[in-house]
Amino acid sequence: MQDDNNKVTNVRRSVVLWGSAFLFVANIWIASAVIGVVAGTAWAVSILNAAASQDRFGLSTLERYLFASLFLGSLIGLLLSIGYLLTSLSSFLIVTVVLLLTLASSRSRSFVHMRAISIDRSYLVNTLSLLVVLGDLMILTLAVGTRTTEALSSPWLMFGTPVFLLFGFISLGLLVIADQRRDDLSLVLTVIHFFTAISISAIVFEVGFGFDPFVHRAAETELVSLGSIEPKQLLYTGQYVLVSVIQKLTALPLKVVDIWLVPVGASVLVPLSAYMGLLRGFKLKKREARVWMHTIFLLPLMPLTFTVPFNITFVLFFAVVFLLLLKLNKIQWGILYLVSLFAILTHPLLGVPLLLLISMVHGWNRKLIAIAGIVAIPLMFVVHNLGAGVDGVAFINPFVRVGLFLNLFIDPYQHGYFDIPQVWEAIYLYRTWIVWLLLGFAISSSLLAAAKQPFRLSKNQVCPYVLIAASLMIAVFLLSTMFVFKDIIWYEQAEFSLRLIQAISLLVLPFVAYFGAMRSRALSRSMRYLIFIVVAVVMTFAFYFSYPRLDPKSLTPGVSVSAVDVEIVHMIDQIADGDEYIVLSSQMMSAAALQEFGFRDYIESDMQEYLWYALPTGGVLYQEFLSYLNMDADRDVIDQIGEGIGVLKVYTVIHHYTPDNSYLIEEAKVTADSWYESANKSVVVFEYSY
Amino acid sequence: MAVQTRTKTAVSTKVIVGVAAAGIIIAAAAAGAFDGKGFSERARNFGPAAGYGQGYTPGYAPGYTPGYTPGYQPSTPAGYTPGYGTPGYGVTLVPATPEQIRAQIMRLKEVWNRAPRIRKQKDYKEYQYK
Repeated sequence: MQDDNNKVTNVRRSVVLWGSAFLFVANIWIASAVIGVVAGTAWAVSILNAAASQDRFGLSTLERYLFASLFLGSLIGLLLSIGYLLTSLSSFLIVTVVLLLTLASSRSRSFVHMRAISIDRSYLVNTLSLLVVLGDLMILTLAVGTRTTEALSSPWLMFGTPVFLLFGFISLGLLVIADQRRDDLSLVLTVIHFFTAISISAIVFEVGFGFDPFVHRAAETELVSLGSIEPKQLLYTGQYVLVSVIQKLTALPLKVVDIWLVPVGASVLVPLSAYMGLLRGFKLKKREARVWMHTIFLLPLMPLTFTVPFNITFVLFFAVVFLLLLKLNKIQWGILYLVSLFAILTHPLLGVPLLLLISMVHGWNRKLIAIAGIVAIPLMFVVHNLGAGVDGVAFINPFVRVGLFLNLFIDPYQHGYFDIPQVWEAIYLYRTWIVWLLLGFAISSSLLAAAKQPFRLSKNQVCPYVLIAASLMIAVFLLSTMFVFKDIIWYEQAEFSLRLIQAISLLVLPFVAYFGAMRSRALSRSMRYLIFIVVAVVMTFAFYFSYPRLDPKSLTPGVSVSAVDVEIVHMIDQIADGDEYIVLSSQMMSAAALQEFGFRDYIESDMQEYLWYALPTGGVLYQEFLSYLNMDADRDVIDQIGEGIGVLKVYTVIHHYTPDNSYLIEEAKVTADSWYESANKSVVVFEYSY
Repeated sequence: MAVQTRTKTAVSTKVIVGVAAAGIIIAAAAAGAFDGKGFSERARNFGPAAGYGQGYTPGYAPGYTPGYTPGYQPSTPAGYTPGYGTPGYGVTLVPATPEQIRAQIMRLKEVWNRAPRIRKQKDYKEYQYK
């Protein structure tokens, strides 16, 4: 009787698995978002269940699901990337990968039975839990309500101070709930709170947040329509194929898939990995793991707020830093190596350190890996620079330029325009010192713990993290002092070093959590609550610093792409009337052009190709635009471009947020042949004809 | 005694739950009632439109490709007067002279030549222990 029931259940599951798989792939041609989302969800859950059911090592359900998700995500990404690099991103490739995975999953007959969730009956804590959920929903609703198409420097301009109080009190409530509940419901609340913390810009900026995501989306759009991007390169492939394939299978707008990939993925993967690592790796009590997993909120979470290739690897790195605390079996090691390979195909800057970190913890030759950690990234950039046609490395003593390295750690928000209010200086102290504070806490605690046997961590748990952090920091030193990046504007030269420092900072978080839990064990409940208040305040600071800011300290954040930018790029295309033209504008308008037209036009001149909109990351046109603005809208600058490149029309664009815009506009009206205004008069376009 | 302890801890929990709950309700009400002024109004006064932040790379925030780790901008250190063409990261690089490159290679050679000796010493020590 039992066997019959099992057979029926297995047949039912097979029907769901294969049915959803066929519907999912058929949706490439049907192109219905409803079918795509429903069939896609059913298929994803089915293969996830099947992968998670493979348990030969007695792992917990959550651990199996976490590794199954990482395994499937990386495997799909890798198979598609390799297939794409060898051929193109064709429907045949996508169908093959989906059906192969379905076939592999259908062989699994044992499924995981989720245990019923028991709910804590404490009236007070239940009420607080409800308030926490409602509070997060309130923040998200406020963000939806303030969604804007205007050019905006900071999402915080749309909110009042109370939103930070709200976030702070929710954080406090969450810590108390995690401490008080006997069930694991607080895990769900933490995931929701994490999602709230990292999704503000994705909601508020209706046209799109940032600049780089526009460039990557343009590339993905090209990949979806053409099946390949020329020249094919390993860099970024992981993200491009993943976003493009999800779009093709679900028929959701590519922009939606792209914008939400990192925030949604991170809000599930990072908190649950942190919990699992602390619980099963450091052997904390459940209550302690639930509370101290909130260390993931302590650093600014900017890289988790928008999708670009580096940020995908950042999410994986963040999760793996915690998962490596576990006592892993050989299959789990294999999955983590697979994850690192996918990360390398997405962005090697953090993909390679991820591979080194995994190898180091796995027990490979530590000295060798530490040396690899020092040389690998500089070596990659030597190769990159040589490929880009610039000197691979500056052959001068890096200690001469040590200032460039030290600059990475100072407070850059200093200015002499007015006295900065002390309260703002105090708030920004968080940003400058938080990593050092956490590091100091972890080191001092580990020294204290050395005397107390129960607190002590084994060398094997600590050494790999310390060694990899030290070797990567030396790599950052070399990177910041010895390299010049051809395609990166001067004020962005330190960008790669800063990104690495952000990732290195993550390595301290597990130890902060561990020692936080250990040291608060002996404290009274009241003292613990006091610590929770401090943690909630720090979480709120991190929330504020997770997005661009416009305040008395930070005066010049960039401005987002607006609806007017989109309007203007179409207007210019119309008034050009089919003539070949070049546009010199702020990079955000170039981003709008990439969104609307993709990489449509290249102007060829002197054996070089110029994208028809100026970009700070490509070619000289952007530098010429800056010259034009600095030289009071001088026509000579434009003449040199127009005549040198040989286009019929050159357009310049001045925004209302350009400093000295009134003066520049008046000057440009004199030097240009004609000018046009946007409907709301916030942008003026100048035409120079040849 | 046991009863007293339980009562005491229960009170502290009630207090903290009460504080958090009241905080969420009041802050949510205040956030909902926010009329778009206050913080944003004041913040707008600090922006480039108010005349601050000029003199930087025209129109574009120094150290900032919006969306790419804004907030981590080492290019505006204290006392720095940025502007177009101001030497920044990498721009001030002085190309190495052939002599410098030669010296660098010689140093590398030196290290390389010393390596076998180090190895030999290590072997010798191991031999001694045996």
